[in-house]
Amino acid sequence: MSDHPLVAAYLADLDRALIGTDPREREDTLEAIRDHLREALGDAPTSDDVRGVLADLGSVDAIAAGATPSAGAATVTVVPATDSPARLDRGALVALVASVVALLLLFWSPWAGLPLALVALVVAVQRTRRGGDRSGAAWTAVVVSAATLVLGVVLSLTLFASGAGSPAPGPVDDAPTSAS
Amino acid sequence: MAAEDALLTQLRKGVLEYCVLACLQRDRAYGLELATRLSRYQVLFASEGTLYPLLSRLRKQGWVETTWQESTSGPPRRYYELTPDGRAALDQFTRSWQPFRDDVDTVLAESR
Repeated sequence: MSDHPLVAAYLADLDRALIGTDPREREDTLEAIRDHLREALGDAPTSDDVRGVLADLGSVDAIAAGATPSAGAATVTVVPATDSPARLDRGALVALVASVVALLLLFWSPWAGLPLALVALVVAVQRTRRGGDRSGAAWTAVVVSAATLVLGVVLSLTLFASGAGSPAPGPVDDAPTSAS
Repeated sequence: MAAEDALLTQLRKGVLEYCVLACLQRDRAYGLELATRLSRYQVLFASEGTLYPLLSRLRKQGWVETTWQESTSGPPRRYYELTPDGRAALDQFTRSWQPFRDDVDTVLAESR
């Protein structure tokens, strides 16, 4: 029965169509359809018999559409995501923390924040170039450290400009290059 | 036509499995036999093959069980049979179906 090329092709198609469906349903369905074909076709079916029986069974896609998607089917698509915690790039994380610290330091003293922000930016850019930055930590670090740098430079220039006239207030007194 | 197919697919959900149970109510049947019984209802069963994933689910749910029996004309046959749980589920469905159908009919008639 299953020696008939049309039957073999149909069963192979069905097997493929059932990929991603519940494993037990897949196995049961294939088994039951083999039984069905054996019963319906007997020992020596003609090609017309085979075509008729297969037409009554319907398309393999219609059969597969009636099967329950496998619980594992979700994990198949999740595979790239499941290993993301392991791939969380430590370098990118360090760069991110450094860039945030640099930003905070900026409020204390613009001079202290700038070098740290620069280091964080260099490290973060390197990390993004390596690829695999699934968490986005490296890109966040790039953005934060770049913003810190820009903000630091603007602050410094403002302080320089105002420092020439009158003594800078508060935190700027701590800065090594503040006007005397 | 595609829209009609989609609508029928939607309507069959939640109903088909009880129709399979109903077809097994009087006596057990093997796959081809059951498929032949059901093929008379062409709106319900678009193709015979769709019966089999359904039977697998009914087995998993414990509503149908299978037994092998020798056949006079070939290899043994796998027979599908209702379990007491399956019978109870079918009774429940039968009780709910009538008022459900009545409501749908009434809504459709009254809103014309």
